[in-house]
Amino acid sequence: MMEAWRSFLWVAGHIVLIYMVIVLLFYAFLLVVSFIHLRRVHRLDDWEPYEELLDASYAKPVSILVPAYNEEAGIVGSVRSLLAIEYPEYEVIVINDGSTDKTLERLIEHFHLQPVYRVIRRQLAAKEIKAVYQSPDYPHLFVLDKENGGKADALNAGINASRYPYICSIDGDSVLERRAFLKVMKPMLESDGEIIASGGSVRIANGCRIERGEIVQVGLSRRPLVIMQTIEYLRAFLLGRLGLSRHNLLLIVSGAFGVFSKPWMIEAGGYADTAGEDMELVVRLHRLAREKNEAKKIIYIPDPVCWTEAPETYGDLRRQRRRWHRGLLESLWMHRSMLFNPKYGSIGLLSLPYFWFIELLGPVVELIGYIVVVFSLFLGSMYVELALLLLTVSVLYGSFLSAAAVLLEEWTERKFPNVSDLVRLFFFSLTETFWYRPLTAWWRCEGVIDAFRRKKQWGSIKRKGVSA
Amino acid sequence: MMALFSALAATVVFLVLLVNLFLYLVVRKWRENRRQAELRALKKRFHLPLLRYVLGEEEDLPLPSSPLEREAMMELLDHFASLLRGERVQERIRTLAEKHFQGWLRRRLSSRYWSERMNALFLIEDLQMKAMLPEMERLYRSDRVTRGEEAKLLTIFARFDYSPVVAYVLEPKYELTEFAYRVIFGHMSERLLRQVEQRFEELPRAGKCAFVDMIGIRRREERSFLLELLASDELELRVRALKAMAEIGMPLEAERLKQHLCSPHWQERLMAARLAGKCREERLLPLLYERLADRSFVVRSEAAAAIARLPGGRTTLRAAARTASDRYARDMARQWLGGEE
Repeated sequence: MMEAWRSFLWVAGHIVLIYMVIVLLFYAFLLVVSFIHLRRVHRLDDWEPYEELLDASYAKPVSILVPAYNEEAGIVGSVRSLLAIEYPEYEVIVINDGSTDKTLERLIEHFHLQPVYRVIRRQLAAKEIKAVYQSPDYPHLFVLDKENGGKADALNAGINASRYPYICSIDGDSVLERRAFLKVMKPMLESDGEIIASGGSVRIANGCRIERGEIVQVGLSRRPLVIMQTIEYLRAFLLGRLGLSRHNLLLIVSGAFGVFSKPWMIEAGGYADTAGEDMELVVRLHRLAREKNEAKKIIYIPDPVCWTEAPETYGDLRRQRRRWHRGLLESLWMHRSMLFNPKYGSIGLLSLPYFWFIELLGPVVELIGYIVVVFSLFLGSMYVELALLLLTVSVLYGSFLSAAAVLLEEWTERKFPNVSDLVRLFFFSLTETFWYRPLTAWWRCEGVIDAFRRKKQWGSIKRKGVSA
Repeated sequence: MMALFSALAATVVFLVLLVNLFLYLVVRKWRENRRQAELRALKKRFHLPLLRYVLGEEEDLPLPSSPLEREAMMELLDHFASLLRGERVQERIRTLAEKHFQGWLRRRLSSRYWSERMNALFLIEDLQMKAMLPEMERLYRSDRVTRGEEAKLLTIFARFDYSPVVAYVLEPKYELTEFAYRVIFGHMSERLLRQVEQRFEELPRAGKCAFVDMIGIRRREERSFLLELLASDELELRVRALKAMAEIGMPLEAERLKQHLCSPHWQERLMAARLAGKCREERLLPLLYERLADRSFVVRSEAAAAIARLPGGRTTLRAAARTASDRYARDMARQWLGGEE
């Protein structure tokens, strides 16, 4: 029995080791790619390139969808911030997905909403819309009141009701920079329809000063848990997404902020009812483009344009990670036939394998790694050596890569104003392997288990209402 | 044992690298923050004298004596240029910029960093520095000019009313997108636009589309040119011409409009319906009424909007909302009647 256990540890340890080394090399490659790109644009004037777009005759109008389910705390603030964005022509459509709290009442009261008659074009299946409201003070603000059907269903109803050729979906709890749309739409407009979706990078709002729905000063939270998430976002966006976007391999346009071409969205069938509806849609768009044999692109803008409230407690973070990971698994599973399928080109041969083996399997392997390390320490010198080796590699894999991402951000984007922010980010990133990684790895593994058990929920976390 | 040692060695090497980079960045950040603070202070100091100078209230100006001072002045000037209106003020800003910052901008234009060259172009554009045209021409002709720079350069050429731009847009170095063409045509003077119009056939497809759109956006009275396009074989050009006419409110005889309203392509029917709404002719009502039951949702919607705009239109819509045999037509009519009923 003991012998079997020992050889299990030995084999598992080595598999984990080989896995980590491969991933490490892959990330190092991406790091170099994003570094080269960011350096190229890094000293470009912030605002100038977008001035031209403010002229209504150049820009195409956007419908902004805000799905809301029991968001009475923050909804009015979010909508207010959306009504103040800088873009020539847009409409805001809030979809009240059968909230059981006072979400709708708050909106009606604050914006003096009136019921109106609007023909809804049913291009996507969605639950019945009970009423459409419009604000006399802000004629471009509409609120749909519909029966509860989940987030994807709410978004689809919003797409049906929208009038404009571009769709943007925003979580009720994010704060957009006023120029976010100009930045995200610019490449889409300039490409004459070659780009069918574009996402902006999302940053954590905790610790920033927000006044009337606008970020006034970027700052860093004091809570270690939030600092670690900030680092995680930097790492994911700067390394993963930019590296992938450069070669049109992007699979996630964040649900927090992305703009899509409506005809493509409808042809792809809109949002599907999964935990990660945003990622699933992006995979489907790629799939559709490949199947129609059209050279379409999905891109990512490295500018931080959307600020979101990160969970501050262990419980909330755990819930969020479980849901994310379950969504990832479900989306990948739905499109499993694309994996290693040469018909889908680089998406099938590179992107999807990346998401299967690094994003999805990563936490499972890491967790096994941690278990092997702990048990090997009790099993004699040969095993101690294995444990140390594993630990060293995971420090490289976890802490050092994150530290590199922090430094890359500072080298190029420089969004944090104080020297002390940089110092804290760097030192916390070095501790990642020792507490934050094992925690999140475990939570994400729980997400995998959930996926097998098919748990369903809107997955709301406690909000203080960032933009209120 | 070997593996452990090499892993440890790699870790140490990386750690040293990271820490060094970290220290370098901390120092750099500290310095940069200090520089920004100084820059802010300088801008504060120059703000009033510079403002008085560009407004013509003062003839003396403290000249920049360090690169940082120059940067502060440059930023202030750029700020004033976007803020202050008036020929005379803009002229003073331009002369000042041309006198003191030309050499610096010239060096920037030949920088090997793309972003520095672009920023220089933005400044030249904002400050209207026509004296920089020869330098920009040189950059345009050089081999290293990129797609982004090309679009920006052509826009600036158009704004500065620089004639060679006509030949450039007909045969750009990199293919220009429709958006880029729109921006360029948007800044062209009537004189240059007419030159482009004469050689319309030579434009690439994206250029043609943008050119027709721009007629509508800038409300240029180009009736005969647009009528000619309506007879084009290319659907896209017919659609754009109808759209431009609708934008300007250029009427078209019912007979000709009918052809487009019955087109097999929904885009053409859509734009024809929009134009019909601008023609104010009761004769069009029956034609539009038919379109209320069009196969395409957008055409139905546009037809209802057009009917609502025509004299006697609301009566027609009310009738449609009650009696139309087609459910879509009834719904659409109801939406446009709004709260009535």
